[in-house]
Amino acid sequence: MGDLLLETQNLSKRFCREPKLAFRYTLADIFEEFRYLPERTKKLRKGEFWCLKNINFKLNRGEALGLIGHNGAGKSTLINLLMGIIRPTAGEVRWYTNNIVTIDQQSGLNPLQTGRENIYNKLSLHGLSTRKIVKEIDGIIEYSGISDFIDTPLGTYSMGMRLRLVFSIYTRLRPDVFIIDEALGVGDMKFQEKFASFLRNYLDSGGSIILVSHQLYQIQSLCDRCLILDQGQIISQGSTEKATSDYYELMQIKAQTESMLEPLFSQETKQLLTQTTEEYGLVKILDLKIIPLDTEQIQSGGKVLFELICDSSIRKSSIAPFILITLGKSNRLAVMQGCEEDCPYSLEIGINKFSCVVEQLPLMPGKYQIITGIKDTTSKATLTVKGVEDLPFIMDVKSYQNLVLQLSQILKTTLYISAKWN
Amino acid sequence: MNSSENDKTNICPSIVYSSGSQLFPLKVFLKTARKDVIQGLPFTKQLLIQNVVKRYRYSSLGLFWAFIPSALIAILLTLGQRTGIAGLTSQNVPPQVYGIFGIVMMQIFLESFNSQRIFLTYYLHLSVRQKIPLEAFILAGFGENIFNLFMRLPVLIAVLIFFDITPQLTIILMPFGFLLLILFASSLGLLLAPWNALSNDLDSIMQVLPWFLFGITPVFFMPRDGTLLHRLFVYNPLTHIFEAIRWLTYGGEIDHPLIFCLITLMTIFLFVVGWLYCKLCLPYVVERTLN
Repeated sequence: MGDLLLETQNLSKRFCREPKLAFRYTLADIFEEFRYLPERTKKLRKGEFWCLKNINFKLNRGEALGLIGHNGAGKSTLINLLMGIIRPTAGEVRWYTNNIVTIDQQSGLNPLQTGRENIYNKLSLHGLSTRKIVKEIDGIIEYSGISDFIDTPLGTYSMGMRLRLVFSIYTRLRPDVFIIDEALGVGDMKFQEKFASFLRNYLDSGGSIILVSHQLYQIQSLCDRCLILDQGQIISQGSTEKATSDYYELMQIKAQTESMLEPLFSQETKQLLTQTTEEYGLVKILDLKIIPLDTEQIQSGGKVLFELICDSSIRKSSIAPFILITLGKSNRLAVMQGCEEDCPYSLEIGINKFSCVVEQLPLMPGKYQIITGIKDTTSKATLTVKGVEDLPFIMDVKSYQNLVLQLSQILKTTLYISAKWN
Repeated sequence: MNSSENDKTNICPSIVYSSGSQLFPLKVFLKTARKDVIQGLPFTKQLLIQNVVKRYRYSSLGLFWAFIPSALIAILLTLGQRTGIAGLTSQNVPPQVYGIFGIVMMQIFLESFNSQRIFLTYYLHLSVRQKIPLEAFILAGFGENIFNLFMRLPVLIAVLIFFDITPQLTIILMPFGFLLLILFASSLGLLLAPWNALSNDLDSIMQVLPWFLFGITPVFFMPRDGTLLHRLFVYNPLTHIFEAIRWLTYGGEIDHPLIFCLITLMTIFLFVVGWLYCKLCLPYVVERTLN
């Protein structure tokens, strides 16, 4: 592993959501700058929240670090703290190099200035003397392929032209660290591939990258290591493979949590599930055990036993227990129902147990809601149901290291079918 | 952590961003400020050239604007002199010369003041995602103001020739007087720049401030001794700078040389304080934009 280039120690940043309070806090913070105070723990003030909390990581020479997180997770704030654009509330950023370049979609270009002026600005900002720039500029303009427009203001450029200009400028710089904030996402496929190939060469020659992107295939193709940020905290840090898998799981859980807050069923479905006779309520579902049989935890493609336990105060022949797996409001995925005709179940007074085995669970990792019930097969009426008007059971399907599963996650498939290829 | 990693972390970092005050230790803060000035010089140069070019690129009348206000003022003051307005006729030079000098100095003062007052707001979009030395913007603004001064000097010389005024030998020092004026205006602008970027209050104040300043500065005339207005004029530091520039150009009397020297020292001090104050405030101003 190369030399250490960057480390952060307990890096934290607080922000305020209320504009009036934020203005007051800004003034207070500026005033604090004039006071010589020993380092102390800063607490949240009224209306504030931790945008980043206790961020610790390192970057070594020759390493590409991916930064993943949904919108608002704190990625851009972290970049701003790393670049010293804003001040940390607590903790420290330590750079062991001066040679750092940030690339983002805006790229700090000035739309009122011409392309040529912007080249001069960018390069002079990175310490190149006018003489050197004059030497380089023809090559840059030629490489950008927009020489006909180089003396018109940047505001008239299309996004693609701007990117080509930015790219040709940055390829001239040889920093120790490139911080790339979502810059790869814009531009056509050809441009993206050109940029990615430039970065690969740069990495091979010993450069380091911090790459922020929503497009995980870019992170996977470039980065060795990843950080996942969620609500201002690092929730996973490690190999890209593990981190991306963790990220998908997190995203799915988030999506499901959001959908769980919505009503699960429409009125019609509710009526269908709770079509009752006077016997409804005489049977009570106590528990649903979901037990992995050939793995340690419930996981995609694994063998799983479902055991439904209920307490009945009536005796009933020919009943059918059912298990409905749903994913949020609109996704009713599958129903498993006990045999109706050839092997009917019967219900005895007291505790009854019904079980079934799924050989290869076809569900993607995530949290699922399970509605269970028992039907009278003769009258077709529902004797009991759990999860419609009360809380459903939750099944947590875990992810694991598996190439097909990871591909399914990248492609965001709904099901995971564990197939045997000959 | 293994021992080799320990060794690496023991190397002194090149850059540290911590939660402690930027101001302390003061030596480090000043060292960083000095380094930023040096590092920002190539960019300052680019920015200055481009700003000057941009001004003439988007202005169809170009240099015409440097002359036209002075010509209009000369016409107005000639009318005033003919009408016999008291004060206009009591100077040792024709009121047109006094007035044109006054108006040019006031223009330079307000331009320099405003360019530094708004620089944080104006360049904030560039500083949001890139670490750009603040000094580059300040110095580019300062350079542009000096450029404006040199654009106006021919007007002043033309006025002296037109009204047949023999300049003093000290006229060679006159640009330094103007430089002090620009520096004084820039200092005030810099001290107000963070406030300007954080709230809109200053814009409303700026609607009134120039008029108020015209009232207490010897732009067109100097009130007689012993009057309340004269006392107000004396309390205004601009009065002393204006009078010193006039004295350097065409002689006359300078009432308070000691105050002028004090103002000179204060101006240099204020400029440095204003610059460092903006530097201190920048991260917080950017933070407010992000929120």
